[in-house]
Amino acid sequence: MRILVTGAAGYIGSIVARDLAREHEIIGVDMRPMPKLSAARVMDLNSYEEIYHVLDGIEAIAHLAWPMGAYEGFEPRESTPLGAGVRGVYHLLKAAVERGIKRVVFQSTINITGPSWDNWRLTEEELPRPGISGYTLGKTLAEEVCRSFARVHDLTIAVIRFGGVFTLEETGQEHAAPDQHGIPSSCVERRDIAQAYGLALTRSLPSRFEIFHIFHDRPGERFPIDKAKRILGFRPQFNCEELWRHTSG
Amino acid sequence: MQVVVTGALGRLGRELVPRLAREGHQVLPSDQQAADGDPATVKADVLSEDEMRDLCVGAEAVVHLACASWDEGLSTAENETRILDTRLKGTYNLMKAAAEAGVRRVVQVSDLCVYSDYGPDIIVSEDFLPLPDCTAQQQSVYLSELIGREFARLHPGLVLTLRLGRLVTGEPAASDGDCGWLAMTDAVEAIARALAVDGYDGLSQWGIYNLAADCSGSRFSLLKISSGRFGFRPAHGDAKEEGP
Repeated sequence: MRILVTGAAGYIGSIVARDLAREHEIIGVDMRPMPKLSAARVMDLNSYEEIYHVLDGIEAIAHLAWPMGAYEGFEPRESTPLGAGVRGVYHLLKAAVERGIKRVVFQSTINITGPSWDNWRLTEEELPRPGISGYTLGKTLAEEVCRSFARVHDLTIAVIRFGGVFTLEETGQEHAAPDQHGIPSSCVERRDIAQAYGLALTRSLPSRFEIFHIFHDRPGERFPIDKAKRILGFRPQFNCEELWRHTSG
Repeated sequence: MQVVVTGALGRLGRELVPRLAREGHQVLPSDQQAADGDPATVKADVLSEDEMRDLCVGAEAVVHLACASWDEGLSTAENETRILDTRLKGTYNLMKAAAEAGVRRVVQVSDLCVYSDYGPDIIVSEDFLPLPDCTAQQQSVYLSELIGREFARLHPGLVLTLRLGRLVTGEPAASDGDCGWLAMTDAVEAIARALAVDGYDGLSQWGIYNLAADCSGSRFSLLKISSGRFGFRPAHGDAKEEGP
């Protein structure tokens, strides 16, 4: 499948693009250069015409891009979450409908459920309570744009929510604790996110709008991943279990 | 009470400002399209964080009317950008500035168009999930309400969101027969009332009210706004009071 990956130069996007390329043809989009991708376009999401143009021949979209400030000479016209962030999703989905694209995966964040964290076993059904931080509020509104487009159009959208993203690749210590998160409760390794994208882009879903928690597999989780396991067949390969065990010596 | 009005040069703003002034409020009208040096209206753009911050200093209440309308001189994408940014970024900037300035009430004027996807035979109330279409207009209206909801969550009671029907001046036309219309004078009176509503019914700290003309066959229930603490019933519609 020909897949557009937005934010393909990012910490997560670069791994998603790399891993999806094993089975798919990837076109990357980012404000930053993407030297590892053979097909890539440096742009932001402020122009509908540019978005429409880059979707030529695309069959599915993995949308990871989210506004950030200027980067090495690339000056976005607008870069606020409630401007370019939400509007970027709106124009991307509108162009996707125009192009006849049938599948989009939108990257949200578990932080939109923030004020509910005094509880456990928060499922995807939990009403987002993002507060007034531009990031979480913008992601929440963007999810709602996705919900509307999937209701009105023949377009299936999977929203994936996660947080606490770590990498074991950079240290080469596959079973070592990711020290940047202390003792993490809910977290996920980048390659497992890439796995989730691969599944969410291709598996048949029960409805045109589905939300999935994507985390490592842990006991007593705050954010259960049962739905992703059941519907997507998600099987995280990396976890932080080592961290929770007492080791002697 | 010192009341800031955004979008004061729009159709509703022009009616509202003198009405609030008559009631004794100290009104500060603002509009992005005000002429430079206009003594009556402050030139301020909701897309500017700084201008909104300056505008809200000393205000006790804000009536937020600012929104972008379709400009035939621009492309579709440019219009969508203006409409989305004005409602989303603009509402966010305004509410953030208002909350920081200690404003006690923001009346957010919204639109009954958020129910557009329900069939015409369904009577909707505030309990119904909004089902907007995918136009920038309806999406921006719906999403800006959620911005209001989140500000109300952090600042209990701050935001009162008033969804209005299509504003009609004078007699409603035959095309207004769906009862999604609302007399301009009723809209103005309801906003004036909204400034003074003290707390909301039920558990919510967010005031959300629907308001359309008082018609016998209306799709929009007036139960919430006409009862309880808001206590407002529109004077116009076809539902006449029962005889003695």
